[in-house]
Amino acid sequence: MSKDNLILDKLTSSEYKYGFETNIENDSAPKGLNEDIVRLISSKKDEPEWMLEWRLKAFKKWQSLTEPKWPNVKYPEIDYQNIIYYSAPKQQVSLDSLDDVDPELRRTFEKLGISLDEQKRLTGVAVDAIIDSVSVATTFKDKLAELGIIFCSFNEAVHNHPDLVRKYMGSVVPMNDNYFATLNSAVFSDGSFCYIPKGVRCPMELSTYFRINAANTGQFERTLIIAEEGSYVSYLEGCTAPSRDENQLHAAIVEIIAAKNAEIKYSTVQNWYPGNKEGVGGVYNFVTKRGLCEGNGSKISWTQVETGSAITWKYPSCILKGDNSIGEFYSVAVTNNMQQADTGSKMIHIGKNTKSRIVSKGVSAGSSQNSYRGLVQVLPRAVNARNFSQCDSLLMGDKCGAHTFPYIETRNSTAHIEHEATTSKIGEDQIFYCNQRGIDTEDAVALIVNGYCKEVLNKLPMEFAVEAQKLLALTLEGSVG
Amino acid sequence: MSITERELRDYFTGRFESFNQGLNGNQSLEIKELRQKAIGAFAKQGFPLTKNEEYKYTPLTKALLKSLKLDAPVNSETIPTCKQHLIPELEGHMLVYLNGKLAYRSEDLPEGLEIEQLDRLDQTQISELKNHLATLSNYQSDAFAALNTAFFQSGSLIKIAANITIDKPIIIYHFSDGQSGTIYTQTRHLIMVGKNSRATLVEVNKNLNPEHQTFYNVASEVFLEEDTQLHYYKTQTECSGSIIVDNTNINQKDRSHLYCTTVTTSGTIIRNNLNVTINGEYCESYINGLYLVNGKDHIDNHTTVDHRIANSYSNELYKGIIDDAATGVFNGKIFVQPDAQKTNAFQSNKNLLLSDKASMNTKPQLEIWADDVKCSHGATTGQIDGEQVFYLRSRGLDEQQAKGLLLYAFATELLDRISLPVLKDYLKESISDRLYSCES
Repeated sequence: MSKDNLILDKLTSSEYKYGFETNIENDSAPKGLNEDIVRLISSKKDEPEWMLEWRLKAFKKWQSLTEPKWPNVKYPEIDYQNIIYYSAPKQQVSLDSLDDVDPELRRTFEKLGISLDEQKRLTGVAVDAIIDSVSVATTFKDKLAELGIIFCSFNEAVHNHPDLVRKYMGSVVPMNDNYFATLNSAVFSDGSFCYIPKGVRCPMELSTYFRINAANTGQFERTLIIAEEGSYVSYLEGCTAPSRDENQLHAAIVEIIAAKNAEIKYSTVQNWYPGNKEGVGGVYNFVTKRGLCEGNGSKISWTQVETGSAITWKYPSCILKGDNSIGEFYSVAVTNNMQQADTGSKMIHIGKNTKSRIVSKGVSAGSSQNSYRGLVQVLPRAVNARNFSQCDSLLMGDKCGAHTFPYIETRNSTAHIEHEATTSKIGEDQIFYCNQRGIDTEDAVALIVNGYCKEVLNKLPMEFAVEAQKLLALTLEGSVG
Repeated sequence: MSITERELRDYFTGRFESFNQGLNGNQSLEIKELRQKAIGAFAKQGFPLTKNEEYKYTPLTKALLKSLKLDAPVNSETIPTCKQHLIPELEGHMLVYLNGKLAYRSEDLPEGLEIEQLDRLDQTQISELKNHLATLSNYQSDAFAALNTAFFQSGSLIKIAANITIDKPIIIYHFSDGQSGTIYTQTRHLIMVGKNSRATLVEVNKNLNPEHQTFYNVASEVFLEEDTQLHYYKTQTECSGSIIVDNTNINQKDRSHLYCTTVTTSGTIIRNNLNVTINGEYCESYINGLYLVNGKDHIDNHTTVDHRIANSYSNELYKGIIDDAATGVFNGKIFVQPDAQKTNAFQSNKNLLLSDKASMNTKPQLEIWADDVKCSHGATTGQIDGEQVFYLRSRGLDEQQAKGLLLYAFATELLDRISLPVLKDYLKESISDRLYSCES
């Protein structure tokens, strides 16, 4: 036991690797939020009138809302007037090639392990890099354009494809959906936009990399993915932030829409700065992610590995509207030290023969609190709906907590709903078994945790799976239980 | 004409002063203070609306507003032939309440068993109960518990001495007959089982006049001392037309065993709050529930098992069959506090939906702050397996028989855990007709 704790301690005490700060000149708006700031953001982006109207409407709505208090997380009140809502690296307006990118910026990405050049040459992953909520570089644009795929920053999409943006923006996550989504709708600065035309199978992984750099800024980005009939796309998202003593707010929106027989796979490795061991600093990650399986036979799959953020509050959801559509949610959420996570998924079954699957693995260590909160809802029309949910929690150390709040609402008698959850710690017998075979306790824990999470990690695209595994080992380094 | 929540709340708070004074002389100072505190808590909370997370799926207040007629006289004239409504052949020490008033009680109790009327206790008796009465009640957080604490007029104190086994069950009947209109009653029980004693308690709820809505708000507090064993059965089988709120709080000390089973088969809205606090080591709690609802009935079981001390075990199984346009709600909370290491806690909720208008809302909830524990919960919602029906049909049963048999098997898993044969058979019989005639 004491040895276990030792390793646990070691594991839980490892430092945040991506905490550096890059010195690039920023173009920032003044602190605070009012109508002028919203107008300023809009004008900085040179946005058309309808976009500004949308923002102002959202801002008005936001003023009438109050911050939700129901999540199982505790944090000091956020002062929304003490946040910079717009910050962008000073850059020329558009970049023709990666060579135009500020070398300092490129070094940042190299430090993060995403060399834009190398990505381009070797791995064949198209990257849209977003720093302080402004898209700085998008690779592989031309090659994708040949297939008719649009992959660009949100701002570009607003200018170049206004019809698509107007049609789909807010169709899955309405402007007045919740407090943070409404805030995002008012002040979002940039994000990624992706459109896959009918029948196209996207030949490479599309990837967005988010980084908060400037101090006191909030990051508000928006991602919109549309997959037309019969298309396929796999989308990756990664995030990091510098170590700072203040809390930073990240309130993003991800909307995805799958038409008939389309498939979208959305993977996230979230590694925002989690704060230090005493819980000072860190990112508040309040994200609204929702997918709409609009057409028959469509499929949306969410995979997430959550290791960072001081507070995580997110529920990637699927609205299964089309008949025979499928929603999946695979999650590993690791909390350590003073981190708090309230995460899970919503599956709304509307169409006939819809299926959903939720696999959630929580690991809590240190003094962290890890909650699963999920909703499975079967509406009266959803004949033969099928759901399987599994949420397991692993506890390391006696100061952490694991909580599950699953809501299951069934309104159709042909539905099959199964939910199971377990909570336990790593068995002494399992560790003993490994020790006996010459594996020391720390490696044994890593092995067991990895095995515990395998079901989810397996769902990640290869490049990400490696990173996620490393991240997992790192987050839990020294925390043998 | 329906009234608003505010009016209903004001009605109760407004009535409190005269009620409390009317009882003057008949009650001790402690009770008076307690009532005062409770009405304060109630006035602050008001009746829970569906915005309240705990009452999200149960529009209890709405139903009360619709059906409660505030000026209807409380009927107490008719002493009906309660006898014919007793569970046949179930012998024991009986307490029969009609419309919340004690109508009958068994005499000659065995040694070690003491049953008093809670509202007739004298000052010294109340002082002795200081550490028990209303100490488990959640009246600060639940409006109905508060209402009961403020207004309870009748109820019993059941005290079992140490080192005694009470052979025959103690049976409490709650009858209501709404002959002269809507009735609301507030009854309260305090049950204390002394060290190393054993007892069986049966609570039976019946509405004798289903055409009339009644509102029954009952609160019980149960104390299990060290090494005790309590079998506790609650049946709500003929409760059409009833709105029932049952708040039961149980406190377990070292090595005590609790076997609790709740069976519900009808009721306009029934809300059972069963809260078990495990305050000792090596305790065992088996909490079971069966609910079969049809028509427009609504059954809501909220359970909490709070593990506060290490090395205990709890196992919870709730099963339900929902037919017609009925609604089932289950919310099971398991808390494992930081000190409750080596806890094993399990919970399972299984539901069958027989009709397209039926709905089931389940929320199994685990909250765990200790690491060396084994906890799990499971919840399923589904329907009768077509292959099983086919198997039985290939053996000569017609479809209805086959389905009936499967439903009966599903339900009796729980009834088989009842250790009182008479009660078990009675319940089995009362559900079998219904299950074999289910259409789906």
